[in-house]
Amino acid sequence: MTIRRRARRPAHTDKLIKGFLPKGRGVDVVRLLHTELGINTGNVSSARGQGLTHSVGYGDWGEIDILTVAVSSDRADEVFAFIYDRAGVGVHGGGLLFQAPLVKVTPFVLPQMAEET
Amino acid sequence: MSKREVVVLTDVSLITCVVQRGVADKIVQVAYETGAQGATVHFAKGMGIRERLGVFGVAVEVEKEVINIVVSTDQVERVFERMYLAGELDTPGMGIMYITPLDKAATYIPPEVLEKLSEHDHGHGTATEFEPVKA
Repeated sequence: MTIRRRARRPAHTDKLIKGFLPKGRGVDVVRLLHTELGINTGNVSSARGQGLTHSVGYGDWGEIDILTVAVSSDRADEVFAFIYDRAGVGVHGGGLLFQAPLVKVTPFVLPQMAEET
Repeated sequence: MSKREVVVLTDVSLITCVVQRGVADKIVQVAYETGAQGATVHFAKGMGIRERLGVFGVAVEVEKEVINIVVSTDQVERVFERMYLAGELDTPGMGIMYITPLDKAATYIPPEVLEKLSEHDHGHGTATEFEPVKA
């Protein structure tokens, strides 16, 4: 068995960008990140939220999307500003976006496949 | 192209709290009373003390609620402590919670609050100019 060692990268070189966005906006942003910035690591999950968005909901709670994107630090500011702009975070009820340091991230590359028509 | 500003908040932390299903509302309420401005809750499956209730001791997945709350670093210890007590996390199997330090956060900030922050800037808010990407 061969063990290949890679040069150790300094800690905290990658960033996790997470957004609490109005329902339905998360998937749109993932699509835009893919087509316009070539970022393929976006994921969206659903949650309920208070005090963040104007999504339709029940009582005090509204439905929201949680967007999670892991990026390298050299692109973090660009991706953060992109999501802020495209998701309308700076608008009242637009949700919340934040960035946290990551210790390590594995690369995520999509397989080469023929485009579906 | 006109330039817009991304107003970001620094000195903020994320509190994540994982508890048994049905407990989150009580904890969120306490967090609000302590000064939190917003919260999100989503469901998850995990393991806990209730896994021992499975037939013949076979482990079963337990439904959990995951609470996410972003607060300023000034408040984080107080909110964390109140949430901990509200969720009775000192009881075995009730849940787990942790704090993640954040580089920055962005959200809608009312102009009057922004003005006040600019006057008394203690490093909690900064603005970065950026060029919006063409649609």
